[in-house]
Amino acid sequence: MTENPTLVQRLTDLGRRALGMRRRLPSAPPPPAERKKYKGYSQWRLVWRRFLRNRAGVAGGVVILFIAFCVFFAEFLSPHHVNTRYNEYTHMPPQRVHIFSADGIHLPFVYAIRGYVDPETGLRKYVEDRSTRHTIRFFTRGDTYSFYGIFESDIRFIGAGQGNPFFLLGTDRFGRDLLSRILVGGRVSFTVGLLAVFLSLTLGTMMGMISGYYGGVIDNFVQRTIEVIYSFPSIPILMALSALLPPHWPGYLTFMGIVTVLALVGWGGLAREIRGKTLAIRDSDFVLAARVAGAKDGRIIFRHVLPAMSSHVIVITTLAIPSFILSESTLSFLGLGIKPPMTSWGLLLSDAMNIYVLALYPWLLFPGLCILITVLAFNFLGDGIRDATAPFGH
Amino acid sequence: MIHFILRRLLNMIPTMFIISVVSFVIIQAPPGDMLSYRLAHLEEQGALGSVSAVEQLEALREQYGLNDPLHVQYFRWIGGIVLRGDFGDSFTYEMGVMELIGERIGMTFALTLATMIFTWAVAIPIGIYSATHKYSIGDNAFTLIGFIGLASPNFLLALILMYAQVTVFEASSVGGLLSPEFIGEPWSVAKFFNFLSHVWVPVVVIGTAGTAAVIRIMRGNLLDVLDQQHIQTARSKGLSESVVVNKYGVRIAINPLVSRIGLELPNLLSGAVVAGIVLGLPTAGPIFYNALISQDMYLAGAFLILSGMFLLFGNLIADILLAWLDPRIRYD
Amino acid sequence: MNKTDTVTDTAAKETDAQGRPILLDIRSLRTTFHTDDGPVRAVDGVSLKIHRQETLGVVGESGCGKSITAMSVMRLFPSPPGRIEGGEILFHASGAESGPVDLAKVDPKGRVIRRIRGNEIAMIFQEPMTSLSPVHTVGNQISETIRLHQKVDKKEARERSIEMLRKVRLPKPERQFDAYPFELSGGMRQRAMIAMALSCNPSLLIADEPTTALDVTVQAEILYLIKELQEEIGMAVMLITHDLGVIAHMADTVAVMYMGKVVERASTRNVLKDPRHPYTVGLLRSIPRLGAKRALVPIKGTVPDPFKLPPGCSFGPRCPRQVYPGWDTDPPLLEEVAPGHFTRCCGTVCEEADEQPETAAP
Repeated sequence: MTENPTLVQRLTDLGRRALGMRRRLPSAPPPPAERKKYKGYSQWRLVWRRFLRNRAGVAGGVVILFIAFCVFFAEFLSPHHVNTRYNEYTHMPPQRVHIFSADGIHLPFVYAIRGYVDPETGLRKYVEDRSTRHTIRFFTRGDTYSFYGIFESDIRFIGAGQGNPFFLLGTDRFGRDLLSRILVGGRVSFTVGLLAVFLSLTLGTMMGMISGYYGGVIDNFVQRTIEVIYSFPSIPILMALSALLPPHWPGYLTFMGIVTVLALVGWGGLAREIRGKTLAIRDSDFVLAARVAGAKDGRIIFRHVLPAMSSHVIVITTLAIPSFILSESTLSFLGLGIKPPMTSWGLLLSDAMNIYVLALYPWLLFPGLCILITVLAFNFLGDGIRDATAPFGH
Repeated sequence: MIHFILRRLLNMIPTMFIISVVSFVIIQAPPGDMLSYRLAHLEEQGALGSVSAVEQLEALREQYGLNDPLHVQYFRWIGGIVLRGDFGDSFTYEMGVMELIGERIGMTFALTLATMIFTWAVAIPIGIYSATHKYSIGDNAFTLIGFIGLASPNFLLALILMYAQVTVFEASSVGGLLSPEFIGEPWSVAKFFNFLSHVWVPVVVIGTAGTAAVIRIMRGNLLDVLDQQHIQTARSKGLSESVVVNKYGVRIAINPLVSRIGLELPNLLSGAVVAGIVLGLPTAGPIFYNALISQDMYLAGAFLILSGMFLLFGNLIADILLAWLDPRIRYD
Repeated sequence: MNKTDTVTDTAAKETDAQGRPILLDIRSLRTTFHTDDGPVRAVDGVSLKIHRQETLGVVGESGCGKSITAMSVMRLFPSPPGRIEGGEILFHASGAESGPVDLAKVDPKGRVIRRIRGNEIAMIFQEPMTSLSPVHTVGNQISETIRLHQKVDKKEARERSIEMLRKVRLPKPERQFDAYPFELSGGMRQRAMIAMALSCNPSLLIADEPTTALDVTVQAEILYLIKELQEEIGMAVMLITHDLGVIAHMADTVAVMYMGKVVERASTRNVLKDPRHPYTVGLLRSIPRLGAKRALVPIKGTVPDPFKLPPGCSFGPRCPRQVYPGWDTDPPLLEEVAPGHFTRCCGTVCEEADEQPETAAP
């Protein structure tokens, strides 16, 4: 990590402490220039400017955008088709990119690879064949792919010539390119997280607002339901529910099934937060004013309560995505989530579950790095947004 | 206080009931029942030519009451649990569920609790250090480690630690809680050290995320508390900074953490299950996993319902602890 | 931008008119908060004197630096971002042969200041609701102070604490000793707080808006209690408030603060009856008074942004005088305009042009 989040935090924090000081002690200097400085900007503009000052948050956002771009154009960016098996290159370690050879300097290239069986261990080994160079090319022809069913193409972003070995992150036990699989699998992991959060947010916002706004029996019922959900440890109950998905379902149905299961178990936390916020807003003066003016409940909820907590909703959503991504990866890792031929980061990691495989082919852990980076980025982004939207100093 | 505990116990009964219903629904959800699984099993072996086998199964079905309406089956099942501690039979192992995993479940809960105590013992002092040395190198390091700890799924940690054991420590056996040569041996110093050399892996796997969370919360809480007016009062009395921090700061900052036990336990238990599966521990994790794969639902259901109870009681203990620590709640 | 004041009466007078020896002598104190939006001079060259058994009232609007001045004496402001950047806080501890201690120079976490806090100088705060620890009993918090500064055992400390609770007229002191703060009302908590502050017979009590958060009826009781105990213990009081009515009741001398500076300092009588600084005049005019025929006159304008102080006199832009040609460039100095009456106004010469305010409350 090149980011140093704490420097910025330190500065804002120093300021905050001083401001907190001033707030508490009535005779300390009045609030500083900040409000005046931003006078005339809309609330969101102000939030945006404050967010930009948080470098960790901005870095998280940039990383998320980059990952989103990569997984959206996964087929185009990946050098090989996700399921093409290169039988002569199974469990091949990540290939090195060279620019120097015995002949001098070249454009970036990879050497051809020769595989053989080590007579002592019986394991497959690979050596570079220094006599053949494959230059790395961009916008080159490779396996044909379909771009979301809109059009078909065989132009890929990067490659070393069709059929030539070009495995920057190595291959799995069937000789499939790990980089391509990470890109395509990433789309599943990423979208599972987004869809699950969307679904549970819809459910959570609805239940939370109703529960907080009406209180009484409804509130009691919703709270009890959430309590029951939280009475089960999350991974085991997720495992049990996923295990109920029929094994013969086609991939996309399993995918939606996993999303649903994640949302069903995960909405409670969001609902609780929304409820708390609704309670606070319900009792605030502007809602009272609306009620005095004769507004109906529906109008108050949608015109006053919901907008008033939009920033809070954005924050808790951003911070909830990582937990869904982590849960999906755990389920898929255990074979209870995404099923082949679809793939996801968790499923890719299940190849590494055997310790002997792992010890021999450690590059199979690369998908784990992707999970880590994605989750970190979402956490930084969420913290950044929270700090930017939080009212002054808190 | 006793009144408080009784009220909380009464409150738990409806929740327990719903937990049992949900568990039962999950048990019943897969198509077919345990006998149709056995039927399929027999079919595979080609042993199912005779009519008598089908009739025999039908008789068994009648005997187990599998043709009864669901609510009757539910009450028979829950009755067995409540009255006799009988959680039904596992059909893959063909023995009583409790007999099969009783010890392993105890092991799981023990591992969960031990990890929690261990990680809190580590995390709270670090949190205090971080709050009182804000933005020092140590604080920044812990913050970074904490972020990474929260971002790594348990199974990934387990994989990385196993890899480290093999490559860095060149361990001869990986996973489990004991090396094979010690299993079944009486406890000795050597066995104990062998146990220690194994047990740190699951503890780290299960505890890392929780430790990171507790450090973060402790740090934040303590910083908030140290900003409160009564801390200034304590300083204005002439107390030394360490007394101010420990007696007035930590004492209050720790309260919300205690109520987090209820939130932390499910995660730890989840972690214990995953760690059990990946590391092959003698806990309920692997059995629960196999039960789900083979749809051995009474076994899976037993684990779910017991986990629910465990967490409910964990919550109760957390509440009692909190009431004991915070007079404002006690007198409520 | 601001010159430090020449403290005209430093050298000679170590006692006041009644012959009381000096207790606390703040000289040209400057406390600055370094925030990421720039430095804020919360206390900007303040000089104050408190004699033994005297009551000094410090008045001013929110944010004028009066609390930070008090916190500077106790060294309780958060540091960083706060820092004392100049001046002296000379405290003449009782029975100290080595002369006064300069509190501005001591380590804020060190032994010297800790021996003074709670023992020689005690402090009570505005919010009785939050200034006691919610999870410790009242008795625990009081006897802790006693045991810290006086070598007594637990039982003795308990008895003294109960005695203190009785002195502040808390009903059933033996029972309240074991009560938690949340079981007491606001006024009772403030009484408990006073009992705690006075448990070691301090020579100076700093009361930071002690009654602002209380009901009006309770306010008078608490003030009366402070005054009574002040006489009994023989301590000095530094009373920080924005309420001139309280000042009129309690204080012997008054310092009026504005934007981190003392703008007027004199006996209470002089300040209320013969205010020289236009800000003091404005404060007095903005107090509602029964039977007054004239409408209230607010001070025009608002308190300036502490990050962008106006050049020259910081009250200048709001000042009705603005007569002295250099008011917006040269900051005025604290001058003695009458015996013992100091004011910081460049328009002092023209004060006859001002209308005198009505007589202040008794």
